[in-house]
Amino acid sequence: LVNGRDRSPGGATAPARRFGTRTRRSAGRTQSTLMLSPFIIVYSVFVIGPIILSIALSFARWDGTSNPSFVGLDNYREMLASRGFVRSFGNLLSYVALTVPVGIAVALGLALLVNRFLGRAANFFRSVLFFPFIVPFFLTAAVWRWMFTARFGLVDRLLGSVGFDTEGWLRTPWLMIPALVIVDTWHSAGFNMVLILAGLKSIPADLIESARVDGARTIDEIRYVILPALFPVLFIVVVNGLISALQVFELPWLLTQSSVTGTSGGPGQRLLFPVMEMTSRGLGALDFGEASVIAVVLLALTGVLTTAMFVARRRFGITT
Amino acid sequence: MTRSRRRASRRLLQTNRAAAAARWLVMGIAAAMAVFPVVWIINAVFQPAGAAVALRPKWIPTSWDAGVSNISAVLDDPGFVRAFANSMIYATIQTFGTLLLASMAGYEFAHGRSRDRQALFAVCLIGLMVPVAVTLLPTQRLVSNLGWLNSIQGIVVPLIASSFALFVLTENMRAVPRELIDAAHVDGAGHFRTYWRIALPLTRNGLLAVGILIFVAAWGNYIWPLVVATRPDRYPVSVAVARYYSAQSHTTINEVMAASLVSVVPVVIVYIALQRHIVDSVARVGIKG
Repeated sequence: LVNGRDRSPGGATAPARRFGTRTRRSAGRTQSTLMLSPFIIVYSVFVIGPIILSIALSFARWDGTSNPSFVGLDNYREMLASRGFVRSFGNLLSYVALTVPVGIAVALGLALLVNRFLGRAANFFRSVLFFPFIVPFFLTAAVWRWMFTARFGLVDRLLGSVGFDTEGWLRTPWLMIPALVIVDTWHSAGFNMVLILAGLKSIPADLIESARVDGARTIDEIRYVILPALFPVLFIVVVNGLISALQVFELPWLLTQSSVTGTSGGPGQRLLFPVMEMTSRGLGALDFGEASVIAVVLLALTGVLTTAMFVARRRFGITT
Repeated sequence: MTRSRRRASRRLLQTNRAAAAARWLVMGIAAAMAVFPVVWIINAVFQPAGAAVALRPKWIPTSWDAGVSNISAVLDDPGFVRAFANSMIYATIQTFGTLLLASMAGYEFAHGRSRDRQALFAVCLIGLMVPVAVTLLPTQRLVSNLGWLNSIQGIVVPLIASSFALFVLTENMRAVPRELIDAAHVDGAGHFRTYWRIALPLTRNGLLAVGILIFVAAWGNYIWPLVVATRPDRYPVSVAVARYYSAQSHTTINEVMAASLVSVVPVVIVYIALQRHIVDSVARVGIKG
């Protein structure tokens, strides 16, 4: 379609005129190339290049400096059976199973609540609740680590008064993932709330009005009118949540004070996640081949999720 | 009849009032939790030594002088000041670099010769789903082989081809009327000049929104500078503050908190000044993107 429109003016004009504008056209072409190429070059070298390198290196043995040697599927065989791989993906699974539903429930609740406010109050709460999203991870982790400290930390002080004493959440293996989920929810609930709120605003007012005229209670209204209408937005929020959960590592890294080269993940390695395992395999053990296997698995999982999202988008009629 | 109706309406009013009160209460608690950590940092900085970690903590700041001396102790630490300056440099260059590259390419995809290249555009969006973390190791090797470790370009350049920025700015560029572009061309303006003088000013809302988000992310960036900047004089503020928190650090908790407070000031100022704008654009971009 666009092609057709594009061709017609040029094709209809006389050859003489085309000849006359040639210099300007080629100047335009040079400028066009000059404007597109900075992005394309940097993008190819630093985004596409590393992706291809990751895939290639997963079939090689490489210590980062000498010449890599091709080893076929060896890395996959060793890696998929290794303790670090199994543990990090096991942790990831329990983290995802907890953080996605909890995060979305909190965000949805906040959105429905903020939606009942009007004007200034609504804007104020929206801005305040979004605020945690812009607090840098290194601060978020630092403050929460302090809150989770045994006895002195605020969480233990509050829960200790009702008899729930711990050795500190980040030192108690079964509480470590819940602690991360709390921090993650604190960080991202406001962001998701803003998305859901935008979805709520796009529900036609007469739809809700007619439900009210029919005598629907608030619960029914939410269940039968709002949730179905919100489904596309909620789907996007869930898939976004899944994709970012796959890549989780800065918060657990900082919460457990892991180092680049040493072991990471805190006591019992309950907060060891795939990207952390990858980094310590690569920069710590200097085994870039095995580390790349993790990158490839993560790339594949993200690819599947993103494809699902695009397909779903098309079905829901959300066009970009 | 009238009396019973009046009673009914009064009851309705009361339940409505109760519901409204409950809403305000829950919302107030949620809002307090959202800002609590930062408020707590401020509280801890403006306390005499030891008060912040006491078993009976003080809930409001008690000592202005303690706060001033905690903050000036941090500002006297040359390592911290340099890290703060480094972060300013990194984040500023990264923000403007990203905006320049993405807006030029976005203009090309929206109005230039590349506007039919859907496949190329799709390839340029792959980065939306592949974060730096996943390809951290090969990128780090690449930077190392270029001899860019511990350099500004080593930290900034690998991050400035942002698919996110390209996506949003292309959308914005598409909204610029074609007639305006054509009119500029007819008036004899070249391709670059039309982009710079016509398209760019018209997309300033998008540029501002993307710029803020990139700046905030760049300011908080931790892992990438950690593996590229190995020399202490190249640390960004994120790495410097994380060092304050580490067990080997010899600073008091009040100074650690003061360092945290100073490090978050730029982000908080930007947010407070532009919060409506930021939240609105996230809502717009999030649903579409």
